[in-house]
Amino acid sequence: MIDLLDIISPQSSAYLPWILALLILPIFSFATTGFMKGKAPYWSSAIIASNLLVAAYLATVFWNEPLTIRGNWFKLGENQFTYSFYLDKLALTMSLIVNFVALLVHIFSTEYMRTDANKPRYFAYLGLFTFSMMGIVLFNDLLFIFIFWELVGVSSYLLIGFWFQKKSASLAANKAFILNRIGDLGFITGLMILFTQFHSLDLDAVKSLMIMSEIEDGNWVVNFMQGGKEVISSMDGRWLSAGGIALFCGAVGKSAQFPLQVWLPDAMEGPTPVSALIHAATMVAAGVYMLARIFVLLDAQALEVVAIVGAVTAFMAAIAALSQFDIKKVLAYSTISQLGYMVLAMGVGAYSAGLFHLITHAFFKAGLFLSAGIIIHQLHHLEKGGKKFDPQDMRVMGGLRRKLPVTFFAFVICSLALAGLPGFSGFLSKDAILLDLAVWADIKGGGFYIPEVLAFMTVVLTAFYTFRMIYLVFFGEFRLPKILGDASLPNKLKEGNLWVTVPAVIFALLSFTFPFGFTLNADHSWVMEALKTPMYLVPESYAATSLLDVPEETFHGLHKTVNIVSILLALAGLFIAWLSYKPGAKLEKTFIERREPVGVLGQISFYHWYQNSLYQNIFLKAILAKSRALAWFDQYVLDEAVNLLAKLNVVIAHVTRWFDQVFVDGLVNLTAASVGKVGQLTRSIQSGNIQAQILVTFIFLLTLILLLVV
Amino acid sequence: MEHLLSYIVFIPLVGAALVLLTPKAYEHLYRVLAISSTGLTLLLILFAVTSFNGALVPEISGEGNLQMMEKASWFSLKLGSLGALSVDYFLGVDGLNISMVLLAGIVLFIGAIACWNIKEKKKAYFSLYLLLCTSVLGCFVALDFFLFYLFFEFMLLPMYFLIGIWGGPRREYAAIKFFLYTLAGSILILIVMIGLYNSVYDPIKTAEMAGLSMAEYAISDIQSMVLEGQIDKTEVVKSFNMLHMADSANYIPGSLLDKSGLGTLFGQPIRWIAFLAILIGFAIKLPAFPFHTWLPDAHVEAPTPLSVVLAGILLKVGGYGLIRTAYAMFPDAAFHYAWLIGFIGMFSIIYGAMNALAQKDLKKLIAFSSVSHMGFVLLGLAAMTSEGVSGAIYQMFSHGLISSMLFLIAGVIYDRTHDRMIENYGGLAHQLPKYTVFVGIAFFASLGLPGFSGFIAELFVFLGAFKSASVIGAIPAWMAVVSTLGLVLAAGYYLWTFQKMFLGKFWVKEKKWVPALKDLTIHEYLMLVPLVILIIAFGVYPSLLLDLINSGVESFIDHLTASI
Amino acid sequence: MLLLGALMFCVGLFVVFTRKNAIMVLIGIELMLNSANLNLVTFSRFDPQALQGQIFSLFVITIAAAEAAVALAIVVKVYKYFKTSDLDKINSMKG
Repeated sequence: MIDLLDIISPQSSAYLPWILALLILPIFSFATTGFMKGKAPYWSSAIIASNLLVAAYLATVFWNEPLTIRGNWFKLGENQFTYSFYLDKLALTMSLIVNFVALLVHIFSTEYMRTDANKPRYFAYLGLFTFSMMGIVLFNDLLFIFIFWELVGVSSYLLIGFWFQKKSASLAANKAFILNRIGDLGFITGLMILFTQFHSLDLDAVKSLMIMSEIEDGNWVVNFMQGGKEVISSMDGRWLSAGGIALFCGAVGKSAQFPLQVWLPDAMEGPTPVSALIHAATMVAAGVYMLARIFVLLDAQALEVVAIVGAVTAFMAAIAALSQFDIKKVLAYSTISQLGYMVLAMGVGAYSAGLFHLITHAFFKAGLFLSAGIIIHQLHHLEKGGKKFDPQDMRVMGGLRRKLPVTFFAFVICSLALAGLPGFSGFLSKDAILLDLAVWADIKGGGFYIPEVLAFMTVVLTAFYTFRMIYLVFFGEFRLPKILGDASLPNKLKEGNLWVTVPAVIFALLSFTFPFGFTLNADHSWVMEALKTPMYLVPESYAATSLLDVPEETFHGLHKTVNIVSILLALAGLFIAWLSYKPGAKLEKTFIERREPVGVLGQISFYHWYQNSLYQNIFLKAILAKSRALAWFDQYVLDEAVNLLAKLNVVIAHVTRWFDQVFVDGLVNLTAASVGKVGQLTRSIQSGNIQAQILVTFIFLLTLILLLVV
Repeated sequence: MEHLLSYIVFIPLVGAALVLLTPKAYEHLYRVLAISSTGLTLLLILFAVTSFNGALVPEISGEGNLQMMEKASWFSLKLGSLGALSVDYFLGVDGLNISMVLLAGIVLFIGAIACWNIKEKKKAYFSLYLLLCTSVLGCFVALDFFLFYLFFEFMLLPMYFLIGIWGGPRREYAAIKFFLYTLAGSILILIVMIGLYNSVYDPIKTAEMAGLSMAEYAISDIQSMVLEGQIDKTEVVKSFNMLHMADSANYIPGSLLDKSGLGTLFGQPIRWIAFLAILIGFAIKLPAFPFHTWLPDAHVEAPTPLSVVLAGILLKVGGYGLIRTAYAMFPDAAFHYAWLIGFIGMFSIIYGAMNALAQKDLKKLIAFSSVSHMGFVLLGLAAMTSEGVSGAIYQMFSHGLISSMLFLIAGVIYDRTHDRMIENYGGLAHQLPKYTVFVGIAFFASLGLPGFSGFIAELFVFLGAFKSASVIGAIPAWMAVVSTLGLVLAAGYYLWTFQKMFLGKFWVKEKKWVPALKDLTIHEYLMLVPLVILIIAFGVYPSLLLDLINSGVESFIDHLTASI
Repeated sequence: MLLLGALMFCVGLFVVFTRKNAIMVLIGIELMLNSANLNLVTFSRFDPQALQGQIFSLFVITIAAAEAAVALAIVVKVYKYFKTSDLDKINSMKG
């Protein structure tokens, strides 16, 4: 029998310092950048650049041979807690992406935050973020993933609320943290379940023991040795599904899935480069990454939940993106929608496809955010000395392609990738997901076609809102001068400088197909080769049908259809967008006066299915009302009861005092008084005359003697 | 070093005497005396902790492997047919209390530094403070129930005066409430203590009394001789020794609290009633719902250093008392009532957090967060698993550090404006950036962010509480799951408070406060920085504490499971 | 001899009861003491073996001397305090 302590026995490696460097460099940046004043951007960029080099070096060394390092952290009772790093292709790719995007965002921010008085703090926070993100990527222990998971939440909190003088920013930061925490409750419940069953949270241990666990009479049983002692863990089999779903709850929070996704649009209160780094490319993808790490531990039921949540999120967010005015809001909803795709992919078992989409999305969405950042930044310059306006509102944009040609180029390329048109990275990954989804739906049948339908509808919607945005921002007429009544504005608007355009263009270049292989078939991409879907490890009766078991022919048969359908749907979305928002179209012309949309569907879209109002007006209010009620109860019922008890005691005390005074003390006084009276009576004898006293004494003595004698 | 524990306990008392003897003309020396005597105590405690051997497995129900033991007969009386009474001066540390001693040393020292700004009646203040130190420390190391109770009760006296004289506007009310409430609890403990004394004998002393040599007989021999009545009743020496009380073989056959006798009261075995009484007694001190209402008042009215000591260490006496007495002496009853205790723990977590959410006074908020966090202690104990109990002890330790820091922080703002209402401030981060950093650290630490000690503690409690159902079956798994809600609520009340007070535009209710709002002084750094370091150290490297308590907790769990 | 003793005792008693001056009262007491001494000596005749009565009377004489000294001192003090030695006027002990 396997001994748990053997599985989690320490493993060392000469490369440990390199891995630690990946963590220490960013935290060093966090610790020191704050003191760098004006040099902060360069300092922190240099640190992150060196971190990228370290990541690259490790990738070259361990690409083909994964590395495990493990050490003891502490011992709790009989349970050894360990830390462990696992560098496989997934972790290496992620660490490259995180550092790469972080570096470009650092460079971009150097210009974007140039005039901000608090920029050292900003760059320091970016260091903290990179540190915590690297922790999630590198550690192979669910407890450590959770720890860094929360830390990443803090850095997100700090960066969303970076401009904390704005009340909306600080509230958005709170919302993000608290909703993430709600998801983390699930995560921690998952940890409890796995720990109770396996006595360890090390993923290697959990996986090895999961293979050995069995379902007996509806109980989930595993039998193993722990330091020579035999352990039999047994729980109701439903906990196995519950554990998977609970862990997934963490991803629901972090990756902004239904029903916790409402924090992400609000998170756009943070600086735009932060949105690119954290709320598009890396942190929100951490949920998907975590799902990939625990992929093999999920059973059929949990995976179904994952798939359905993903599909619903993708669709809901895509609907919400249709009618937004704020360019960052559109991108935020788009991010939620794309994350929905990734989660959906994980749910249907399309592990490689989901991760592939994670990677391509990281680049094209970061590119979109940075391009949007340039637009916002350049429009913001126009505010100087003039009237204030909202530089994120698409109603003030329009026709920007002439003024900002480079940005336009980057934005369009990334958008094409987002819409999933052939030749761009998004096409490859989204197609892979849709293909696997189609196969999955065919296997499952019945109601499981619904996710497929939602996913395909989302393709149309995605293409539509993407091109709506492009038309509104880059085509037609510059609307701002009309609004402000200042005709000189268009001449003042300039393209951003190299600090900002270069990162955006780099992301745009990475949104083509070629970085991932010169092919239009996702299966031929090196990413799909590198990140192979693993087999499920849960007991057979609980396991889902793995797509690995599906014959190749099924995929081949569906491949063409899915390809053509998705391209046609994307083109359809593009066409509708062109019809309604091309320059001169009715909707485009009236866009400038548009206020919130009318009609039920428009409202639902604009208010994102009223989810926010539901939470704020019902749940939050209910909780606050309940807490006030409890506080009232505490103060006026519970505490009053105590006081009443005390007062009752005082009353009783008064009664006893009265009794004591009148009866008990009265008796004492009576005795004293009667003794006094007797004394009064006898005092006359005491004349004070000594001779009289002697006489009396003598007489008594005499009497005594007489009595004795007689 | 011999008599190390005695030195630790009584050095503050010597300090108090010195304060009393120092004439008023040298008033400025009082605080120096207070800091130096608590500092010396802390040094000795650190020495004790470093020389403490965590690998020795203590015998919870006996004196085996007890470390730094000091035992001297204090007084004994022959009571004829009632046997003999013996009270010992008995100190010692094992895995269950060493962490609390360490915590007490740290918190009392920080508290002494926080006393720096006391202005009135210094002599009385500092001598009472040092007296409090002695009784708190004594409470943690005393292993004779009589001695323990003495220290336990003696804590009330200085606390009463310290709150009642140097407190806020409603200080008399708060002080009396604190005093009476806690006293009511101690009376329950006293009753059980007397019951226990009547039921428990000291096998070693009994052997001496009966003229048997311990060289020839093992303790178990003596126990069986008493059981079979071979030793005369008059020669049975009754004992207050807490460790003997934990061994069910030491109960006089047929006595009130004997396990096999099981006399009943109100239809319940007396042992169970006794357990409940002692549980309530310590639950008041802890405090747990519904016995917590003295805490917000006491905290709000107490001066900052006393809030620190109260939250940081006095509450932990309740938790420690539960472990050492209620659980160790009545494991069967503890198992029987595990559901109740777990439920109270869970309920306290959520109830305290919900209440904190509705508070407007910063100190009240922190007080209710203490109620919430102490709920974790009960939940962990109720689980009766090593993770749960370690978690409970870790939570006491970590909450001691974190709540001290929170109250210091509340004190910083109160010192400047004499106002603690959350709604009266806004955007303080602009005016007090460094203070804001510390508040942020304290808040995040308290809401259980990983990297800080609170997270480790709460994680252990959750793991233990969940595991309980499948290992020992003390409490159901859903309790752990429901309790996690406390984490969200904690995030809610802390972040909203932080947002209201520190973020947004700078605004304070009264203009005159603005000039007073200066950033942290060196003296405040001196208290806050060490706490931050400790909180992070214990959050990143739990072995620091676990190595001390692990074997003790293991043995404790073995003791519990053996007796169920 | 016994008669003499009885007479002396009666005289002493009379003096003690009737005289107003404290000194005179003291003298009366001395008389009574000495009459007792006389009786002791007289009765020692009936004690053939030892001289217990005589020895005892020696003791009494010594003690009486001491007593007289103390008593006189008290009288002097009383006189100084009350400015009189008239016993009828010294009645501050009157109840």
